[in-house]
Amino acid sequence: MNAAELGQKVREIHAEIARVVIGQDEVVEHTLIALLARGHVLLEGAPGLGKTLLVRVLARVLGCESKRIQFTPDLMPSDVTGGNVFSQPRGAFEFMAGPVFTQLLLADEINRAPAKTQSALLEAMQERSVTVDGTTRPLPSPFLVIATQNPIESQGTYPLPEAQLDRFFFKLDVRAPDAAVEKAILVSHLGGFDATALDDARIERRTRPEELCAMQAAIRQVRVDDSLLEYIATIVGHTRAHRWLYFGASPRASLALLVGAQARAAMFGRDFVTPDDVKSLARAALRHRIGLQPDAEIEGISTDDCVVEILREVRVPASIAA
Amino acid sequence: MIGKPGAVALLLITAAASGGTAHAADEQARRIPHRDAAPIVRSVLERPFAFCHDRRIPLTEGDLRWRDLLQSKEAQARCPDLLEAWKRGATATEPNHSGPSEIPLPAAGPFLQTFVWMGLGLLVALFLARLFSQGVAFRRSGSPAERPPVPGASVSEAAAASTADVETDVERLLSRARSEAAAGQFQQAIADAYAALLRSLAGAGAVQIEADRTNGDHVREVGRRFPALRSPVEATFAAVEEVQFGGAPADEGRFRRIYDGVVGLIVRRLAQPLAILLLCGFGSALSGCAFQRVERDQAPSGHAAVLAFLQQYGFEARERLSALTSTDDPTGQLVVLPGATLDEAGWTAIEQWVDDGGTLFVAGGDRELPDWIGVAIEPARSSSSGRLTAAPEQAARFERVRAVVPPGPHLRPLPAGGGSEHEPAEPARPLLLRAATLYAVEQAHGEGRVVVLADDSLFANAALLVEDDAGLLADLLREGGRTVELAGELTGAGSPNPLTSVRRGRLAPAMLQLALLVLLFFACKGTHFGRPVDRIATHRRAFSEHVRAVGLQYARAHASRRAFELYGGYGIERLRERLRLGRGKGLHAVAEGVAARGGRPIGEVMRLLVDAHPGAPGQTSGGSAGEDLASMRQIATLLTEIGGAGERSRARAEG
Repeated sequence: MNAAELGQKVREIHAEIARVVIGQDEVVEHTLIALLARGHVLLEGAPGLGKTLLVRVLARVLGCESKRIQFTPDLMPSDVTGGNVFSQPRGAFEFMAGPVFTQLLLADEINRAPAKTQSALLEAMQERSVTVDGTTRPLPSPFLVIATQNPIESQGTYPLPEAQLDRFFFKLDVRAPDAAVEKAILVSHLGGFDATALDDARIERRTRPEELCAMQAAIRQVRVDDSLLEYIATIVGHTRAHRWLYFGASPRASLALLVGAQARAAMFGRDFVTPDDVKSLARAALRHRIGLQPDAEIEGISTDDCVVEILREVRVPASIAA
Repeated sequence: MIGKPGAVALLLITAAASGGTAHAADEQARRIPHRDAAPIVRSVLERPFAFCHDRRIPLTEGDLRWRDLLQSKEAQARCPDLLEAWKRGATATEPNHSGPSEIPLPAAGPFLQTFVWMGLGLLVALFLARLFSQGVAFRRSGSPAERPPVPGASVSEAAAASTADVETDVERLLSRARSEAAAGQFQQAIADAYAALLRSLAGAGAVQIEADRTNGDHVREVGRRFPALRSPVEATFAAVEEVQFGGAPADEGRFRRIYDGVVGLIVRRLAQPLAILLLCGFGSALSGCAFQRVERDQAPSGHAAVLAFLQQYGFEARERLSALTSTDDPTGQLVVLPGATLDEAGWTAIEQWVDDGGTLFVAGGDRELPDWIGVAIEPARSSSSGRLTAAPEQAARFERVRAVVPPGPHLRPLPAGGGSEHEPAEPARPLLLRAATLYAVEQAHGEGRVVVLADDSLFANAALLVEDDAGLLADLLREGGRTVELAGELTGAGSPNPLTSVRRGRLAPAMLQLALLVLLFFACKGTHFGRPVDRIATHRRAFSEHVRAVGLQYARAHASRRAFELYGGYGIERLRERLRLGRGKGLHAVAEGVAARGGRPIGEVMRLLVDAHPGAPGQTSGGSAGEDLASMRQIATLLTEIGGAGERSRARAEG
């Protein structure tokens, strides 16, 4: 599959999703990029902004199996991964696969569960396999986790530690729609759309899991110029020496930027990466991988502000500015 | 049998006979077939000619001559507004036909003049501002050795950046790109073409060139400001990026494609405002020039409707604009109206043209006719209108004449056969009579003929409304061929060359100023006034930005306690003011007032005020920066709750 074919296919997928998920184009685009780059996504946003709908629609359009886990304080690791259960008729322990054994997993309100349960999922995300009682079982392919968390309610939550946040390829902010988009949502509702009855929405499947795996393999062929490798390294390097930041991004962030840029280039039908691919993904790839100094936090500076500041400081390759 | 000389003679006779037959056939072909004029006139008058459909049209004394002839019900039915116009009498002056006609140029009104002067002033101010900013930029940038190193760049890059001269002139970048392409250095040529495009877009305010901006940023910016340019700019950038990052070879074909795209975009950017400017200029000039002429041409004495009538009848009728000294179509007809200016050279050229077969109509006019035309135009003798009748010898030719014209001059035949080279060989034949006076005569001259009319009444718009004047006019013209040119006041008014045009238009000072402007433009854009530097993006900082900058300085100096002291003192004073407490009242009174208004526990308020009070014991040993910030926010909340001018204006602004 070449870049042009891949771009055409992704555009079809995007258009089909955008038909139902209105006004979240950037979130959809970044989610598809993460999917192509074999990464996982953390969605942060207030309730009711369409996070769950996005995952359900995505599963239908991609033709993938999907499951949902509602994280709660009493959720156990085995509730995620599954476990060995004694079978009375057979007189032996049998493995009951947990909901993680799926292709598209929605981990809703991931910060509601204790660290132990979070770790079980994050390990599965990283290794793409689950080990129970010494037996390792691979997860199906493709495997994408979309986790959500609510930024408003902080009581009774277990914030994800930095090391675990780093496992997410992108952290995406789902913002409230503006008035025009809100109106479009209302019009769609009046037109008969019901988010709880997606069967009536006639969502068409645009690809198959095998084809998706081929697309994931194809983006590795996208060319990256040496100057862009330097550009990525400089951006990530700046996060480690920035005055507002307590700690900077890891090399995993550089890799996420690189692979994400390749996926974005392929999405637009190009077989080479441009600086714009890198720059446009920097916030999504870096915002959860850097930590603010306390005084910056007091001043109300966000990690997004820091990334924007760093991007301003780094010269884009081939820029003609003096 | 016919001998050889006889055969030659027979051949000659046959050729002569066939030539004569061909000539007759030509004559027949040139002649326009007779048509009934009445339906054509009706069709013409349905068009909105001002003499017929505008009751406010200004009339001259000449127009009023037709009033007595247009009292018929038929005329009133055709042109109801004309009678209303008659009632206003003569409100316009007769055009002056004694000298060369002058075309009134549009006079700019006070608003336009003010606008033009404002535009000029703005241009000068912009020019001076540009010079000033260049000067400031030059001083700020200093010498290359003084430039600070680029953050994050390696030593070699910083050195290169400090010594490299950045070319910002679009023309020179394009020129350099061409030279490099000619030398086979396509990589650099593409880079320069790309730089030229960016500089051009930056010059138009479509993009900002900064080191952190990508082509995607530029495309989005262009899309916001000039949506039509987004697609071509994106395509050109994509082609450049294929070379820069895609590993595509920089060859001639690719360079040509990028270069053409860049030039196309630059020209397109310039073409739009230039076209609008030119259209506005020409449009206003032309509309201003045409205004008075249209009025006169559509008056009862004008000729616009007659031209339309002749065209519908089948003639190729038009107004002649080129000079009469250059008549060259011997098969056409030329009508010399009273407004046409003719000098000796003009008459000589016309005589030659008539000799070659042309048909000349002289339609009256206060002029002395040359000797080769055997008739003179005499001033009017009676003031009564006259019915036109055919001269006795022309009774068969004009048997159905039914035409009336207003009173006017008459013709006086001159004796012929004087032997002079310029005198007519035969006398003029009378064609038409008005009452008892001679109205139209015809005279052969060489291969052609001359028809002289005592006035131009038959060519006036109003004649279309009177009996069958139009039919008579068509009959007079039918014999002369299809082409009819009316020579009036505009004939010969055009200039033979641009220099004459400039001289006539008194445009020399304007042209010189324009040349000076071009020179100045070249001096400004073609050669830099100083070292080329990027434009400095300056904007006025908001007050909140200053406050934030000062706050950051306090934060960096770990002086949050000091900031809290200052803000606390300010807050307590404002609270005291808003609660209308005098200086003598202490913190307790303030706390009581705040607690009463805001419904807060007085102890909590008191603790906060004591903490915020400047010089309070133990204050300097306060908490962390975070605690100080939290306390300041609490004081701000108190201020908001108590209200005051500041809060009211803020609420208004937010509302």
